[in-house]
Amino acid sequence: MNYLWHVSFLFAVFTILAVSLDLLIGHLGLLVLCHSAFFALGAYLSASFMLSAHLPFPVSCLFAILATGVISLPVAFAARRLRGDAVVLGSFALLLVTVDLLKNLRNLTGGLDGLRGIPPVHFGPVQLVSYQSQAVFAILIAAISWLLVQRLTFSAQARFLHALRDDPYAAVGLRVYSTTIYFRTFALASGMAALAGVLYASYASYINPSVFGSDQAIALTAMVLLGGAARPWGPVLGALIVISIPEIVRAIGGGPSYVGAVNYVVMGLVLFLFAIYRPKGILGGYEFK
Amino acid sequence: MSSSKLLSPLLSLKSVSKSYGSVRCLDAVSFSVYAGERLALVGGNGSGKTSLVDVLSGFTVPDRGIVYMNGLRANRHHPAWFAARGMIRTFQSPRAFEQMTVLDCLCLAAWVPTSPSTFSSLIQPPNYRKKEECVRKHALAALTAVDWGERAAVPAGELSYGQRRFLSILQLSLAEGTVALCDEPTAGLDSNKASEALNLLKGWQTADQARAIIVATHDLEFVSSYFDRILRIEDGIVNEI
Repeated sequence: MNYLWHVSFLFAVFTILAVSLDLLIGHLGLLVLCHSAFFALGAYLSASFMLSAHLPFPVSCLFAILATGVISLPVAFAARRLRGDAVVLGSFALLLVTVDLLKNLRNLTGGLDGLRGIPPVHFGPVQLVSYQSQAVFAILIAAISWLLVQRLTFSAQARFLHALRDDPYAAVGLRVYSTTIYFRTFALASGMAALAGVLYASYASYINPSVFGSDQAIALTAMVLLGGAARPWGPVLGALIVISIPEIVRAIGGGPSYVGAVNYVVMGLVLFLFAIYRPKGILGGYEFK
Repeated sequence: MSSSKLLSPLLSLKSVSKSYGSVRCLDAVSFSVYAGERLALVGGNGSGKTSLVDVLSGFTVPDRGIVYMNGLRANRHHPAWFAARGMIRTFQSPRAFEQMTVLDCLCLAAWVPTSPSTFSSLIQPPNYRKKEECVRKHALAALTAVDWGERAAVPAGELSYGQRRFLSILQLSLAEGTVALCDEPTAGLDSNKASEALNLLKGWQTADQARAIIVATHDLEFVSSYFDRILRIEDGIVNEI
């Protein structure tokens, strides 16, 4: 039973990540590969606040989200300056730099050894330590995140985002000239990724740079593109598929190394086939030109 | 001199020149546009109309000369600077928000320039819901008035060249602004739709007498009945007709 709760927890965390990445990919039109850097920032900042400053979980969580949101703003500025393929390359470079910093700033991040003994989610004396309680809490947070994003993406504000995404020149011609909406959305998406990182760090109690590398970036992008970008259930379905692939391989009877290898072969193949036959994803979302 | 001309001009060009390599598109162009004016720029293909519209809206920086908007020097400002001061424009090659529906394109136009805050979008208080409802009704009424009701849910990317052109005029007709710049607003439209497009532009301008409208076109017949001032542009040189 604990195994099912464990998979449910992972599904919830990756749903938060995929839904927030969809804000960037589907609604801002930015194919960014640095989302797992924001995931990492949330995890490391929250862990450091709890371990070094002994701050309680809610305060650490809030500070980690706000700090990641602020740190993401220069990234948003750079992504706005870049166009098309340059966004992909630039954001991937940023991810590599972030992972390298996590490996080398040993005093702050523990280097390759990572950070251990991260306290679980707690509110005063109440600690969520069982698999079930942590999974239920994460599912609740994922559901709230999903609802907030739906509220936003079906609002009048989303039309401004979509206009900037589809044709920035036509947008400014129609007097859609404010960029604050773009920066707010970017910061919101980064903050949500940080929230996923906070939950993950407290659940695993141990984090190291390998969790947040390029493999994770590809998996997150696959979730959004497979399910269908800018579709309400697209990233959720994508997260379910990408989370399920290794579990299915494991159920067939593979060992840990076998699961890892087969997982990437299967995911690569699935992505390859979708790029050719279903470029808008399963639910038919936003299509990159 | 009309009373509007006693006021300072909304837009003004002083000896503006622009060249691309050895081709001179604009040659020492000077004129002003005042509130309430309906100005047409008429010229053939390659005469410099689009370059002039681009200079007037900040999409092209002139090589020489000065551009003023609302009395402020605007030479090197981004198009967003012009948009923030009330400039709204359409393009020679019609541009559409391809993955948005026709209705959403019009609702967007009716909301500009102020977007709702993220907080109001999330909470959706009564004043937000009231404005959104009003905007949707207004957009649907505009679609029905031009027999486009059945196109409300069609993505703008699926419209033909002429339909995209007409959509851009429809958007303009719903948007708030002080100066509208239309580059070839009737190109690709049949006579009925061209006439409807002109009516929409008239409606936009007469809704507020402080608004000015500038149209760049090759079609002198289209502009002669409505525009109160016509400038002919030929080889980048502008002359009053």
